Amino acid sequence: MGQVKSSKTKDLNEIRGSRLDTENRDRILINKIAKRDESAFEEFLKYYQHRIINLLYRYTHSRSDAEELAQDVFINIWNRADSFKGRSRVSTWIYRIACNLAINHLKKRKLPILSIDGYITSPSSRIKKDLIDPGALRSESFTDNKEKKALIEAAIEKLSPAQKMAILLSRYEGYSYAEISEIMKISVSAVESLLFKAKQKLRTILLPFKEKGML
Amino acid sequence: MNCKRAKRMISLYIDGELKKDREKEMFAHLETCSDCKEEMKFMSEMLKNLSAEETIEPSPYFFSQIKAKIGEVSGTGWIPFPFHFNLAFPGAGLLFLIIISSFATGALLGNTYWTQVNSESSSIEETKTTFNLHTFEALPEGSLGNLHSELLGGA
Repeated sequence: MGQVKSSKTKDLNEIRGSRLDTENRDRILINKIAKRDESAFEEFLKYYQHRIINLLYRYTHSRSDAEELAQDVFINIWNRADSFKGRSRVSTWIYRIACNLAINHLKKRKLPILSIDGYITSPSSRIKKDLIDPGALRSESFTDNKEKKALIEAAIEKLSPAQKMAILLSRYEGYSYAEISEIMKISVSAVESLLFKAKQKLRTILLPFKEKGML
Repeated sequence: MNCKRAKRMISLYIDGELKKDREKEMFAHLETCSDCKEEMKFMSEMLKNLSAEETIEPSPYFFSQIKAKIGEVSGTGWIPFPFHFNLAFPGAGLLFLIIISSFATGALLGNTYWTQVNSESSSIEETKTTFNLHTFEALPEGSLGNLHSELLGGA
């Protein structure tokens, strides 16, 4: 037991150590970017582009929207690097920019999240249409995990922009409540409440599928 | 503990945010409440499906597209509106200078319209003097020559 505990402590220290290295590296790069160093910007982009694009892709479900928003995130970083005060971690700052842009994008789009028309052209349109009318479910429709995932993703689309972002940051990015509160600039208890309500909403949407043995 | 509180704790537990001392409390409730136990199972399974998902790769042109956008904004491509005025004034000034200098050069080389007119009238005068053409000018009134030319021309 003692050995297990000491190895866990070692792991945590390693994670903390690597986080510190990453933070130092990021701060050096941000300082260089503030002085208009293009190669530092390119290096910085290599570290973060994949994570940011995928966060935005999960949020928008559109590759072109995700890339366009990600471009805006990095342009913001290029333009505002000199205003970075270093009060938070660099990664938190980037995620905050991405998060604000994504939420504003979704609010501006103002599409009815679960309208029939909105789902006809999407890859999992059949599942999404079933979401509107769970009574019309066909049990053979949901045999594999891929379709289960698509169903849950469609349910996530029904969440509010802030609830959706909190779920993505928590479940996909693995951020703690404290980190999400820093990124979204809300209190930890507000994050807790946001995630609780989001899960309850998902449960309400998905329960009929569960009762029919499709989840 | 009531179910409302237990559900809050389930949410925290699934996200790894529930403190150890509260965990015992929650599990003790789950032992006695089938609804909350079912909620715990359902939530865990539902959210488990979210953790592993396909990812996309950024376009190979991603960096160059960002550079192009930054270039547009900073003025290497598209010129921001107020700068059109800044360029208009020096442009007009330069054109004015070109016109003035072309006039000055022409005057210095002696090939302007006025120098051409002056040189033309002086060359006529020179020709008249050389060939004594002044003698062909009108004869004095009442002279013999004048009378003779009137008789000949009938004027």
